[in-house]
Amino acid sequence: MKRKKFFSIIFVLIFATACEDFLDNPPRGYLTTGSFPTSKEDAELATNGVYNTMRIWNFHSGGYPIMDIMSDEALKGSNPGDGTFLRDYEQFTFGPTEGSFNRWWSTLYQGIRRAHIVMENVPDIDMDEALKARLIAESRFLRGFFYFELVKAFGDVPKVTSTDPDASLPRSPAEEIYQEIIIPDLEHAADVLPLRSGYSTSDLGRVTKGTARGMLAKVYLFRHDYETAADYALQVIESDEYELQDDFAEVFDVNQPFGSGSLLEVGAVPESNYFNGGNQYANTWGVRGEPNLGWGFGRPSYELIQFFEDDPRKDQTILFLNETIEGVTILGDDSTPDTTYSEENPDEIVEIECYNQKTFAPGSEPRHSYGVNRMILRYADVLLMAAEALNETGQSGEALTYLNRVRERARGDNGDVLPDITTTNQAELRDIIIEERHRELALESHRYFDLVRTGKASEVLGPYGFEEGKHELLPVPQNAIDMSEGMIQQNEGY
Amino acid sequence: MENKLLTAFKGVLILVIIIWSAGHLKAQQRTITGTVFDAETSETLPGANVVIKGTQQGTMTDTEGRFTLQISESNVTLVISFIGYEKQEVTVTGNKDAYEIALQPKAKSLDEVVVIGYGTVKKSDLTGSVSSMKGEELTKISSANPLEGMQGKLSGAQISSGSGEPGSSPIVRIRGVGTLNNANPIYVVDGVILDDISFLSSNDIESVELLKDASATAIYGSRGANGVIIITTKSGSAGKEPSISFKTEYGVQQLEKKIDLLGGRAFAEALNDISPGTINNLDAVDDFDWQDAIFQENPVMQSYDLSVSGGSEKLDYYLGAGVFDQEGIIPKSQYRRYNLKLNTNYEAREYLTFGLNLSGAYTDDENAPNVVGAAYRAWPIDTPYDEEGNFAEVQGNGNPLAAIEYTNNNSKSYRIVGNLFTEIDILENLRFKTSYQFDLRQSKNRSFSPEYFVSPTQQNSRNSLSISFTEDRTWIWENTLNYDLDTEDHTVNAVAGFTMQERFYESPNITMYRLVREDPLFWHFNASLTDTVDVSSNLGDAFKNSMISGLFRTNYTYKSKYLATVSVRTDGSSKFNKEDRFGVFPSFALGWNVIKEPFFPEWDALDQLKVKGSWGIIGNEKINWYDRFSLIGSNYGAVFGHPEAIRPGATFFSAGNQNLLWENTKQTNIGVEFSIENDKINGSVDYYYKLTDDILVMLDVPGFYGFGSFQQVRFNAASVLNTGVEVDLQYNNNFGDLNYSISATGSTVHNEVKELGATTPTDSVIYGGGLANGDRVTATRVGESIGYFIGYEIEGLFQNEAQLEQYPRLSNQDVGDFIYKDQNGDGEITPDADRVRIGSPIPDFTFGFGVNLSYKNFGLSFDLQGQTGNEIYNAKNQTRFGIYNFESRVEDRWQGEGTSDYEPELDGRAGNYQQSEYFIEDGSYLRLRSLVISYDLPESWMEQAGIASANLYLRGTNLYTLSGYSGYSPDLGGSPLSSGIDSGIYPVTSMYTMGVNIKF
Repeated sequence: MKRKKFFSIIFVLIFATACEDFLDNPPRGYLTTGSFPTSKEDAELATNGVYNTMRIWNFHSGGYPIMDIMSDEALKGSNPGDGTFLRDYEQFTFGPTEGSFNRWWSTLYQGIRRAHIVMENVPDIDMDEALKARLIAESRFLRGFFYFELVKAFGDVPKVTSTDPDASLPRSPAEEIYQEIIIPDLEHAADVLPLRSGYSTSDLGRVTKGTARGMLAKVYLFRHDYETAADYALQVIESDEYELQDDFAEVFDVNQPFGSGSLLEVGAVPESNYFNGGNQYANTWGVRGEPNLGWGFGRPSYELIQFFEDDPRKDQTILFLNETIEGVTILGDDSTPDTTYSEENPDEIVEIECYNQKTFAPGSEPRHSYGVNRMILRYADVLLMAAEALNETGQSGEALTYLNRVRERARGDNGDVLPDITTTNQAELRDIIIEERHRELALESHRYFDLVRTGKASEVLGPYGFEEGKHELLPVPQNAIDMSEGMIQQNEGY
Repeated sequence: MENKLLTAFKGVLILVIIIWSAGHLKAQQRTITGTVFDAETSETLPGANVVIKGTQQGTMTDTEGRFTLQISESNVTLVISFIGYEKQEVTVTGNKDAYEIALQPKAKSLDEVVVIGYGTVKKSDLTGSVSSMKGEELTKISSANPLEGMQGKLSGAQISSGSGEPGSSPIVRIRGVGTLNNANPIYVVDGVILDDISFLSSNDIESVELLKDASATAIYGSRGANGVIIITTKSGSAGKEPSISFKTEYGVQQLEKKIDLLGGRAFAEALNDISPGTINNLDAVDDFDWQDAIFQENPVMQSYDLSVSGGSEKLDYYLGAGVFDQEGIIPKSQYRRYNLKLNTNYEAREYLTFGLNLSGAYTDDENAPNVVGAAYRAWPIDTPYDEEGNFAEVQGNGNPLAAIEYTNNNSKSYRIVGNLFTEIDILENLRFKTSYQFDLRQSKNRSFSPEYFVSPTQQNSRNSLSISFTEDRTWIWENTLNYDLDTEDHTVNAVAGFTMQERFYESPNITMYRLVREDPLFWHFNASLTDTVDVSSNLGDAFKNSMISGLFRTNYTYKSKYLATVSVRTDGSSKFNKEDRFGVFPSFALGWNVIKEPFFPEWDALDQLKVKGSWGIIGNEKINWYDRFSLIGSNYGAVFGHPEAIRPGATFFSAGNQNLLWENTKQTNIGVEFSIENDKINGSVDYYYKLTDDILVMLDVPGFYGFGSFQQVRFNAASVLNTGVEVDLQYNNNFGDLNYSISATGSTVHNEVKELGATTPTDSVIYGGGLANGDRVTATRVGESIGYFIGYEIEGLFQNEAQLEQYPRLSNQDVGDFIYKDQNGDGEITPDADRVRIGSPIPDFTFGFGVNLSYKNFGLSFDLQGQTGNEIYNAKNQTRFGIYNFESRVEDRWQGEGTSDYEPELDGRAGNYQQSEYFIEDGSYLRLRSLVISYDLPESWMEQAGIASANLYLRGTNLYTLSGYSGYSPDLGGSPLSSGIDSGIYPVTSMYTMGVNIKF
């Protein structure tokens, strides 16, 4: 009897000690989305997190320079047996299941989500209003920019405007994305963001008023609204915040980040770990073998080499074998043939081993190339956009001013080459400006879409396999279509 | 005076007679006769063996159970034995010539006790579906992990070896694939619920019970849905002489077969096909066999086990200690384990018992360099070394020998699993037990990568050392009350209990670079030498999980004829949010010992016939602690400024789903058990129907959610049905001195997805089986089995230009490439419409067959095991990021019109390397899993040495596998959505072992 009582007491105690609290286990070491961002520090962290997207390797068109390989500026690269899937980009035989599209698409939306975290939560934080406005404007710029990349590449895309999108979204027309997201975001940024000179040296690289205006110029150029494009481009030019650096090579100097011509640049430090600030972008292009063991993809095409002729920018864009740069002699790679001849005509060169000089970084370890900053928007581009837009609106004379500034800088001390352009014939000037873009912005992933938007893609890229009515856009990733249960349709032709 | 003399003479005479008799006895032959009969039924036993102990002399009883034996010595012991009975020894005394010998029947399988959750039950009273095997059967396979010994022995269990790396754990599936996330069963060792048993040595295991149906597993509620394997370890016996046993084994391993790959010249020809003119002089190319290069010759396995068990009246103990050491077929993949087992019970008072079950293991594991894929891909025209003896660049996937050289990855871990309990007999029928259980794991992984350069894609610019520490502790407090009532007609057994448990896990990882020396002495952290230090941790770092449960079960039998079981369990888990935390899991079972019914015809031979049925609900919560939380990570900085510096950033890290619910399985089981002719034949047949709902599965989320490439979220997304039949048969008999037993098990599985939920972004198909190149080769869809393979069907090859117009093709296909079937006839080959089901990794039928023979001192046993009806996806052949070596079937490739209609040309394009039936192979196999020849040394030798018994044996494991698969081994296993995919798995090896087992 005594024993019974004893045990019943124990039982009660046992049950009493077991309360619901025992089953409440919050995460250790991680914040949950409900609790971030809530302070001024959080707001800055969250905004930096949006910028961080641009260092994710898959941000660069899925990790490989497919946009350059698809254009006439670059070939697959590396040795013949490496990365054979990239040959499909040279020859326009790729399909929607090729992984690069899915990675690029997912990474752009990843950036968009990060921007939404700021846009949804920072307005409620009790902090300095000016800083708050700036951080929100930076995030809105980046969101607009990410959407611009999406519609350029894929056309109509799902419209996501919060961190809690519908489970199933259709593709919204590109026009809607432009009207509702891209243009309003960039315009807001252009209003609120400070001028470049408004940032301290340690904040260089953050997006500025000029960045937003320059991006708007590009957006309107793609929309064939040349008047507005010219307007924005001129605003940047006339703000006197930017100028061309004296030497073309300075633009890409690893030791001169965020130079006077830089409107949007992805900052990186020479760390082999993305989390520590490195960016694998340049390593993918980098010289094989010495100095720092790059992968060598996106090899400058033989067409590009011949096209440059005596343009001084040739030597600053392309690294040839046996060239010496920053004390390093470029020997390339044993498994890559120095010269490749055509199968049909053994005297015809189709490829020589060479590399992108714009992404070169001295330094003996791969991590040194991780410190190269990728240029997304620079002043020379803005000048050329101004020229193009002015030409299209009949102001060819004014267009020449800006075009020739770019050529003047490229000429450098070499007085004989790149004479100033004088023609004011709209059609002639149009072609010259596109060509100048080809020279100035080679291997910076601009060429392909420049050809598409000016209607020249068929002419220039047709011989390689470009099909009109299909290849103006990339295919929507097969994964996105598989998961949409029919809500998302594929682009024409794929 | 005369009387005294007479007495004395009588005495002397008697003495003389006695002495004479004794002497005479010694010298004379005697005839001993006897009758042998069954102690219970008094029936005589014909054919029983009667042998003089220590000799080969003996005879057999006749049809009347009688025997006659001539003996010539006086001190003789007869040993009488008969199958199904306990051996008996009878000492022949001087004055008795005729003996009546009663043999005790061996505990019949019916009377055997079966271990079920939280108790035991007599087999004849069992209503649930349970497969069992004895510990000694496990020791027939030389392996560190006892699960290997269960392959093919437990009906309902499909055990795949998976990787052959020493120390790896097999993949276990019970009654099909029940869920899409973690389909592993749970293990209960000495009452402690665990998720793996790699720390146990087979030698310490007494018996294994596999609980399969709802009635048996519902008591484990939330974790029983995938089956429960209960392991009972050995214990001592009170009041017996301590017995000591020592066992040692030594074995060598061999690769069972190599993969057929191209040699140097054939590969050079292939290169020329892809890109004409690549190799100009075909005769001058090297021919290097990379498989031979990476696999070692005859790696060794050895093990030593010692156990002592015994006890006094109140205390019993079992102590086991062992060492297991296995070199791998690939260098640097050795596994060594030291293990200790201690089980003891102490009866402090008549009503009070204390007990302790303790297992400990220390393992030292070299983790294999990942070179199987590299050896498969390496160009055979490349050799590993250059002229100076340094590692040369090897095209394909890098130089495998260099990869082995530069990999240094070792894990050392401690594991202690234990159960400390007290049992108190409160009343005569009521017992209370409280036990404190724990599972403590600590491990450290050290990985060092030196600075090296072999080629641009195979190099490391600065040396690095990564050390990760893992701590994983679980404690469980369990309290149960057991009630037993045994009257003439009724028996009732009830158990009620309450448990609480908590698990804590943390795993930091630190990497440092540029160690000043690369020597192993320096593979430790030292702050002064660091260049930069990366501190990172996996998502799994630092969590705590807890659970509270209540359980109840009662077994009732009426006149040993009608059986009923009811059980219910409720579990609350911290993995779910407050509203959905608790799940309730009931079950009911009924059984009927038909044979005991008066109306049942008298059939002497039939000993047992039982019919049983059960239904119940069991749950599963094997998801990660963070699956319901959306988390922010803080490692997302951005670089600004001049000079550039990284500024901290934090943003979205992973997505969670707060509406997660318990997964639950409803299972119905109907079975028949029978036993014929005194256990000569016994067996069972079960039919099961298992429906799992609200399956928790990680799903891809559309890219526009912005979780990033490759991110997934957990949803309750599906319903799956598994149904099938299991058969267990055993036949025991003897033919004179030859005893034999044959056992066979077979299980069928029909697996079908019933529903894919509406709460998820996709409600019609889940793609899985992601390969390295992003292809998804499995799909899960309503109406089909889980994770079936999808791809293009092949109709032939494009033989000429004209055919290119006739059939649709991918844009990177040309003459000589596959003609993929245009399933929907739309004139295009698209992944959407034209990828169809091309196979399934789930077998239709798994089986095991074993034979045990023993003849006097010799024993022979062999086990066969296999499965049919499943396919394998040869992923390693499909995912190519460059030009790799090829399997030798490409020698039949198309090289012009009409030269082949199934093997495409080699053209370096990706058109033929899409997911298609070309990469599907038959995964059925029949394997001779073990063959053991053993010999018991004669008892006479043993007695002289003071040894009770000694057994020598030779054993072959995985001797031969009959299979159509081209890869190393066909039993791949895998997770539910990615099963049966070979991406370069470590081969399973054959092993030849010899061993000796001595008992003192």
